Amino acid sequence: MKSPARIRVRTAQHLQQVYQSRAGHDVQRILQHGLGGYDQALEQIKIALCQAAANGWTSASLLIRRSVFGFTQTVRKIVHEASLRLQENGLVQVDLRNLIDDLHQLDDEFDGIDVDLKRKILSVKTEPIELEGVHLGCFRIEFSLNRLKSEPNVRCFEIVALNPNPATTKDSVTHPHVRDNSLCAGEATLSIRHALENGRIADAFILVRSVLTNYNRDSPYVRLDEWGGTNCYNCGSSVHPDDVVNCERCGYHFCDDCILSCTECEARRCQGCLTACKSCENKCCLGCLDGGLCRTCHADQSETTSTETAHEVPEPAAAIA
Amino acid sequence: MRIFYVNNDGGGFADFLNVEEGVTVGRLFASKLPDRNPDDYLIRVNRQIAAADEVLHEGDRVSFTPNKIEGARTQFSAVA
Repeated sequence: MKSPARIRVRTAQHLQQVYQSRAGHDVQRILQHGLGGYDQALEQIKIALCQAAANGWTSASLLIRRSVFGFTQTVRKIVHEASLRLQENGLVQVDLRNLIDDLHQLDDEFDGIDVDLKRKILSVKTEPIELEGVHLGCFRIEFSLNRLKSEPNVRCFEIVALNPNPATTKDSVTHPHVRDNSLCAGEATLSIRHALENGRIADAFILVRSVLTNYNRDSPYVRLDEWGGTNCYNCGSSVHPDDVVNCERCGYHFCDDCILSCTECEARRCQGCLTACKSCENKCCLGCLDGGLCRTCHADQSETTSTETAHEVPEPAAAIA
Repeated sequence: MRIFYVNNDGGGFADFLNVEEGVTVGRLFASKLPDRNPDDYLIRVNRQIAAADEVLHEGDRVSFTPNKIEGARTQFSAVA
């Protein structure tokens, strides 16, 4: 639903204030940085004046002139730099009309904007996002006006999953390129920064959406083919990495229901790597079968054979004709 | 004539541009992004959807923004 025009105007006014204060912030930073030695220079001049008063003005006049000259040179240089920066910032056409039009465009592109002027957050909602068959749901793109003042870059944005389907291995990753609600914008990083510096708010949001609706398989936090965990080699069900069991013979991954154990040595084996004993049909690994019999049955058979041998009656010798 | 041209591809560009009278959106796109497919871009004139054959006028604001951009995980992407 489109937002009322008055909301867009008020939001644009807040944005304009942020951009104006950013310009002032830059200048202030230069002055503070450049005039950091101001106190020291002033102290030196005071000392020089005191000495002059104690020793006679004539002898100290050169020293005082030097100190004052050095001090004024420094101040002049710093103020000039700050003035240049102010002019640069003034070239950015961030006027109210442009900001209102930008918010109107944002309204159209995302079917409505939400504004929380108390928290200074401007947000929009994306359509449901599906990447390579993985449903990630809708996301709310939140933009902080407070952060815009100090760092006009992708960090102004938070990406909040509205129907979270996080990666099984890391629940802080709700999108291949979002972790802890922070977007890693990759190739869009620079263009988002330029858009925000120039007051092109709608462009910045659209760029964020362009990242969210794409999958870079070379550099995700979690790959989409591993999003739901590992698949059991036998039944195909998705298994949490903590619950995966490997067959000790073939090495494939299995769920807990599809992994068995050798009856004799208890080694973890899949169905395909176990053979049934010919006698008792217990599942054993090949190493625990002897002549197709498990050790237990083999031992039983050996005992039976020995017993039969002990009870045999020898046949009488043949008569000599 | 002069238009305001915004290209959000790569590092981003936004400045006034002199173009010939009667140039269309499609021709401008082809000249600025010759190897790209317009279907891969969000193309706006004065912040509205524009057709390729729309003729541009003095003072128009034209923007081209990629629809799909590759994100990354943090260690491969410096925050500018």
